[in-house]
Amino acid sequence: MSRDLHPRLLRGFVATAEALHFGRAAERLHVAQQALSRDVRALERLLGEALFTRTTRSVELTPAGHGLLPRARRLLALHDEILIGAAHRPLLLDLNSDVTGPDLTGDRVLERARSAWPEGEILARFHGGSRRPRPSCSPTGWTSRSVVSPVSRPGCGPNSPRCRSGWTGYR
Amino acid sequence: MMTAAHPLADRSVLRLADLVGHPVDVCAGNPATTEWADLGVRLLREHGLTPAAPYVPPVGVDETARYLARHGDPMLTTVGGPLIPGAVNVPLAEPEPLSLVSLVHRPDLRHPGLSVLRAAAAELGAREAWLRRPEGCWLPAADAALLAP
Repeated sequence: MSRDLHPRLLRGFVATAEALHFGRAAERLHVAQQALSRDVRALERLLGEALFTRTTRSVELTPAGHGLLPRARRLLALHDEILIGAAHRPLLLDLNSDVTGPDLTGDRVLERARSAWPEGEILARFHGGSRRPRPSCSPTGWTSRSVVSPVSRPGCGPNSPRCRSGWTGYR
Repeated sequence: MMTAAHPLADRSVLRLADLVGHPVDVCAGNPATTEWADLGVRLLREHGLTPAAPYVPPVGVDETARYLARHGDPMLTTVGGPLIPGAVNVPLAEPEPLSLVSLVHRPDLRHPGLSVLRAAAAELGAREAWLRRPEGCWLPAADAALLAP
């Protein structure tokens, strides 16, 4: 009998542990909630112990779940590193802005990310990406994580990992 | 943002109603900044104000300073935006306009840099309460709908 552990099960477990809510975790992973619940149960079966306590009102980690979480994250990080070919492959970030400034939201997020990840490489580009407004981006598979910042509006190589911050507008 | 010589430049804060009769440059007609122009036009129209006529947009600090001095219309910009020599930034109020900043990526993108960026945004956003909207603020209806629970 195979004792292989599919990373998908761990990804489902970590997302659920972070959200403590099956619906929200499933949404984050872009999978159906039933599929996520099935994966978590499969993982519990494989490991032979419960990872969550579930009541009608809440989902909580068991001690076994707490113990698994950091190790699952480490394995997933390594898994992702292998998948992207090399950890040194830079991420292109299109700031959608042709100005920079230490107070601009995009610049601040970039600066913080770079100091938290000195061994990695995030390449920022300005005004280099899609000019389409966001509503026409959504159907093509872009996912938006939105934040509101009252102070700022900051403002892709074909095979490079990339993402986009801000809007097409830069002022 | 306007030249220091503008009649409204000495205010510490500008209500949108103070801008009646002053066309505001929202970068209309610039094909590279359609979303910003769209937000600006909505903000102005919904408050009875007028967007300045489309013009070839200046690029860079020096050209922007020259453009501002020559044309005189205030520019819609961000509070945290870069300071242009000879210009002043005056915050807007009643309502305080907000703009949505998004991190957009493909759902299947797996990259440690993306996790780091998301964590950085989450950390700054939580510390500074980005998702809390101040009383009497304005943002485009479509953006407000996106943020609805």
